[in-house]
Amino acid sequence: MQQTIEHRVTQVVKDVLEIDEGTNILNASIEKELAPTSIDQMTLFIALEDEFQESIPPQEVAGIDTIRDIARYIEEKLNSMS
Amino acid sequence: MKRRVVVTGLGIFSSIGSNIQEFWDSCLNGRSRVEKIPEQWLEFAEYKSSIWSPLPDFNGRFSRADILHYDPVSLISFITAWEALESAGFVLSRQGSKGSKWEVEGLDTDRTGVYMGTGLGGGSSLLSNFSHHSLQKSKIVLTEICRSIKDEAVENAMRHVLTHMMCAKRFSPFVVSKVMPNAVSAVLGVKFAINGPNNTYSIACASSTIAIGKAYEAVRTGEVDTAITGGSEYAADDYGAVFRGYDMAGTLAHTSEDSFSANRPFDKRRSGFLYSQGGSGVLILEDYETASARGARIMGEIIGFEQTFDAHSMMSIEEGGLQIERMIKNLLEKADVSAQDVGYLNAHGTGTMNNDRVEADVIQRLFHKSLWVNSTKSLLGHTLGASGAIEAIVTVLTLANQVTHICKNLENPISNLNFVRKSSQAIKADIGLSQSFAFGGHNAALLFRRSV
Repeated sequence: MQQTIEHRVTQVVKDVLEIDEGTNILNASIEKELAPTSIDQMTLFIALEDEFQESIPPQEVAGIDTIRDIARYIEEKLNSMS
Repeated sequence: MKRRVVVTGLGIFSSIGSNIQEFWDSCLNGRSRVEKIPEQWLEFAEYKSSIWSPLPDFNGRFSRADILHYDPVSLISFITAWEALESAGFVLSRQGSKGSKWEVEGLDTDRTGVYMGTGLGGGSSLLSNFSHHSLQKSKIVLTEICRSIKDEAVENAMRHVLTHMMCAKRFSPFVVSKVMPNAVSAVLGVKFAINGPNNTYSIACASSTIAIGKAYEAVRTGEVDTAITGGSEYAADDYGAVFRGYDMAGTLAHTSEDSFSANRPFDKRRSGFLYSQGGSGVLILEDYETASARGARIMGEIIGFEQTFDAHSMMSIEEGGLQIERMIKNLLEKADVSAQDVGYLNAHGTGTMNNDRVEADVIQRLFHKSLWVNSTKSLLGHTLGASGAIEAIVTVLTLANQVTHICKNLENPISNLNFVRKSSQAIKADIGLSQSFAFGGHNAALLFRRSV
């Protein structure tokens, strides 16, 4: 499940931020490397909400900075709902 | 400096065709798309009209980010501008393998302007976000109350209310930039990295005719060498509120009988226009020297633009059509063209009682009996702020191909004008006129010359 969620998160990030398919972004920093503007970050988290049909309040993801960490956060959220 | 202004590219997205080829094929075969309005709209009001002309799906062409960032009216602007630029012979290359921005090779982006029209802008996004703003908290409260209700009838009634409280699932942080009318031109500047003047004109149903006129003037006077111009409209919302506005104003085709042929401009039995979900049309204009230097295919030439204002009523056309008459006379005089030289006229032709009568009277007063006249709205309904651009495109294609489309559902004409009565009507015309009238009292017209 972790791999699947990681894969889905990675795809959403690459779609939204227009990152080439071959790029490994799993450990990249969202704020420093991938989505430096607040518009990019808002777009990304809304797209993730749509992908996983879960709300992602900004206060819950404050400080989460890599794609791997986001995938872990979403997995925990989905597990807590089931 | 007065330069020649030529048309080198065309793009369209409409209910009867998602590109120029499909659209023109539909036109020449007299194909319409008329359907019943969405059932959910019937939950909120009773209407005199019950038909519309829906658009093909377009969301599949866009990335998640584009759909989040742009109102549909901006998305369809992009579709048509892309087609127009490509048809003008420009090579479009994506910036990055997944990029949503495009480089237009061979285009001097500093010397290119964007001039678009729209009547409603991003009104669809305004309405869906307003619905969320006003309903979402109440929906949560009502849902909670529903859970504790023991009476089945009361619970069913409350659930019925809840299903009618439709709204977007979130209030978009991008709502301001989606709603603003100027997004319709701004999206093209952003997507194609165009740095020249970038303007949106919002003049109801004359929006894109005036936008094209302004683009024509900018190219003609040397302000820019190339213009991306036209207009877009997207007029759907969850509740049918925009449709209701036009319906209550008495402008839509009544559909008590014979629904699918109720849209009949210039017919004695006309009762209003066919409401269109929207559409978009874009033309690429260039000065003749710039176009020739790059070997562009010249599809036609704009030789005049004129506008007047009725100063009469916000919603009714002036009965005598005096300002329309003055506009056409000025248009012809400035272009040094006689009325006898005009072979084709694409009418505003909405199918409303007064509009068609006044327009037909003015045409009869000014032009010769063999002038070919049709209404593109008889095929795809009224696309409001996009209609002028779509009809300008029809005028260019008509002159270029010396053939035009039927004035559909016209069985008992209101006058003896030379209306086009059959599909794929061959015509001989070197000069064509396309005109638009708008709520408020705005009149605008463009004059085209066939490219030979």
